[in-house]
Amino acid sequence: MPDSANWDLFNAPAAKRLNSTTRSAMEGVYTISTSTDFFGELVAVKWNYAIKGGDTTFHISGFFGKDIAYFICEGKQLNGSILLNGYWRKMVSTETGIIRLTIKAEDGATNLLTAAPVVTPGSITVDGVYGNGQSDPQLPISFTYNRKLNRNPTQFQIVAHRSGGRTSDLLPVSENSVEMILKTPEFGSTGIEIDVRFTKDGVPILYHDNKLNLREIQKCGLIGPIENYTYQQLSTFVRLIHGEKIPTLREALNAVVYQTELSFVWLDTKYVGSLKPVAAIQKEFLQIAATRGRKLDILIGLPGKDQLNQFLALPDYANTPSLCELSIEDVEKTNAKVWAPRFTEGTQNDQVDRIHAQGRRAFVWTVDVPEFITRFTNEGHFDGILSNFPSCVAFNYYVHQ
Amino acid sequence: MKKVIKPSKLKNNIPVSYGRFIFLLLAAINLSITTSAQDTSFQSKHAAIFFPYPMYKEKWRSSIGFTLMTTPEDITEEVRLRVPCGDYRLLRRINNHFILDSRLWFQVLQNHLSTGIRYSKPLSKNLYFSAGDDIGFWFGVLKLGGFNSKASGVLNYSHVSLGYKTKKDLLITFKAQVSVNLHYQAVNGADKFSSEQAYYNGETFTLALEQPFYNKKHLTLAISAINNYFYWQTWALFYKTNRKVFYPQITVGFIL
Amino acid sequence: MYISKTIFVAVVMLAVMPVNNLFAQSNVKTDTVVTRKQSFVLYVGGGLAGYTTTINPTAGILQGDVSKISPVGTFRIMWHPGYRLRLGIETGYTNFYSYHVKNGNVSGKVSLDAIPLLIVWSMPVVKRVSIFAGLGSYWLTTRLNYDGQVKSKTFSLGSNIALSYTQPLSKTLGLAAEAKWMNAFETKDNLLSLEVLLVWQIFK
Repeated sequence: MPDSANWDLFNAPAAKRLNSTTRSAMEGVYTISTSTDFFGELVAVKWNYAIKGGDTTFHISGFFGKDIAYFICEGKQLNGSILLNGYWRKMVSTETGIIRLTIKAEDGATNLLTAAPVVTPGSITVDGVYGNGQSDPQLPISFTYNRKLNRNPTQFQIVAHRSGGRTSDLLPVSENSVEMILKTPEFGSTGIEIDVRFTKDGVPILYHDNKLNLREIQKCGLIGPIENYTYQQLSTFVRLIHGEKIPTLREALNAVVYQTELSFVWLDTKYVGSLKPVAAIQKEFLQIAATRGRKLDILIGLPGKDQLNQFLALPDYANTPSLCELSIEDVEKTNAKVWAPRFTEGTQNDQVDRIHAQGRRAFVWTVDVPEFITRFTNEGHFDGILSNFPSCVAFNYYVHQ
Repeated sequence: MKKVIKPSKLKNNIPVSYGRFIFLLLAAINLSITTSAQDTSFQSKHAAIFFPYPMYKEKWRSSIGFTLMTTPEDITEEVRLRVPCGDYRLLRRINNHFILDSRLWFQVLQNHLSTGIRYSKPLSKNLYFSAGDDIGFWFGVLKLGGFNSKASGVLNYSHVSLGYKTKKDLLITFKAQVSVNLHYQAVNGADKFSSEQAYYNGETFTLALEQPFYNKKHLTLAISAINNYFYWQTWALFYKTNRKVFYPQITVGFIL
Repeated sequence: MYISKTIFVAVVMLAVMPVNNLFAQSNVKTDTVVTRKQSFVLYVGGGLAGYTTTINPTAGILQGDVSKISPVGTFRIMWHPGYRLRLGIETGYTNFYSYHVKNGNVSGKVSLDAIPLLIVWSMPVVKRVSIFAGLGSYWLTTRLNYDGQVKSKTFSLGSNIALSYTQPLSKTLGLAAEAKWMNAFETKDNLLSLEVLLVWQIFK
């Protein structure tokens, strides 16, 4: 991630934060007029936020239709203009760079900064420059407001794999970490999938692999199955790739409820054992979310027969929200809220319609090829897509007509 | 005015310019004869697969063995490919310098067949050179564990090799290869995805040792450094990565 | 016209060499006419090893330095089929590194050991000097003593490469000095060792 902090104009003392009315009015699908060969024809622009250390940080993300590209910026107003400063990245490669965008007063900023902005096609023009790596941005980019973001179906979930992406996606924070949970809305995620395991002393934590390995953690001398260690031992010795601690499930759900606007959590149970501790934490945080007026689904994922049998052993399983990856018959047996088949079986629209008729939802995983994401979004009947590239899902969903 | 060459300018009493000319002429003649001298002492018992030796006498040369490769953990995670891949090579003589070079990699779930032309030429008594181009076709099928996938692709491989024949029976070959991905197609359930967009895929460098091993049989031992965006053995795990990935590979072959 | 000795010799050689090349085939002997004897050779010994990869324990808890020098043992049996190339199996034991920690009132220690199991090829390079290259596995064990005791194992693919000089002591015995680099590549642990080995031709 390049360091984009050196834009003097953006850092001027007089530059102020944008209010929620302005932010909301800026969201939409824009037509790109310059650098279409690099970014494509359209960009979907949306704001998001996360609360870090007591401060709420707002980011504006742009999701492009080419090469799984996106930009993530912060926004300010200065002298009647709107400034957006941040970085862009292409997920099909390791290309990245700084991006600086401006909406001039006469190009729509004056309207956006009013108490009740009226936005019509062509009423906002965003001009700016982007660069490569750490070099000063000089290449032009320009896009103009076209229409509102598509939000149909309104329940559609853009679910980020491992809370935001994998280590191999070269993101600035580690997979399955609190830091990633706070960052994932910038990638377009509305929900997350996290991997749950238990330590030796029964603490549920987030960790994907069976063993401690250098894909996920920094070298520290601890190796072998993560279940061999207590939470205290892991917390003391182990740091994830980017230096974070392995979070407990409780810490992760705390972050979701109190620090983000995420509305969906898929607990992928990677262990075989009693689901009671996880179900208890799930119930606790659903109650907290309800008390705070937060719209939030937390579902226990059932990836295999072992987990399914453990789930059926729960005293009140029929009322415990779950997501079943197996057959539709297993979905019915567990009264799962969501059926989640693997993408390799195709769109399966007939099966998905059958699930809908039962009042349940259907998600598909893990879809990463852009052409498949487009097909599943435009032709599939799924209610959500799990992907390592939530920005690509976001683009396809928001521009769909 | 006639140019007089003073005695002091003569190297051992012969005009220097003449001497140098004769030396260069004989050197050129020597070199051309040396490079075109067929080293037909290279018996079929010295058979080599990687070594760029022209096939003067035999019509066929083949080897059977296996390759071992490991996949990068940050890409394939805990699914490490530790299954060996069968490796069959077949060389067919076209003429003194051209060889038809075919290779079959077989690994049950995925297989790769390539064929191409190799041009080999001796540069000196011990140094040999070859250049070639192959077309490879691979295919894979995975219909278990919830997967309903198959894929196939076409790649082009261009390569050059430099071989050194030691005094003993050891043949050392260094091979450099580049590949271009020409076509890729995948089917998942009812969904099809294909790409006709050719792209530069990466490089492979190989160091091969070929020598007698046991009971008149010769053995190929090679180590390869593969640096590719896409490698066919990992089709079921992912398609093209966003950066070149390094795959180390060992080849062991018994020359038949 | 006088012709010097130097130039004469040079001219003769240059003239003769091409002719010599044309008949070169008649001068080459194949290796297969030579009778080959097989043997098995045992290598046993040990030495000291130094861990060469970087390790950074969690900041603020490390007590002292990471200990990277440790003893190493090797046991290897090679089959000499009669040609240049040899094949064998190697195992042994070593400690990669260890370090002490203190976090508040709690002290502890971490130690990582390895047992290699490799298929090894070797080739003589010059007289008495051979190169060895192995491919196989490392069986790694962590011993943790902090908030309880843990002994945890994992497996890693790995390799080694060694250069060995053998001084014969008798017809079947020798003493070898070996420099070896070991690599467990899944865990990114590398070791460089210097060893002395007893070399014993146990069967011919």
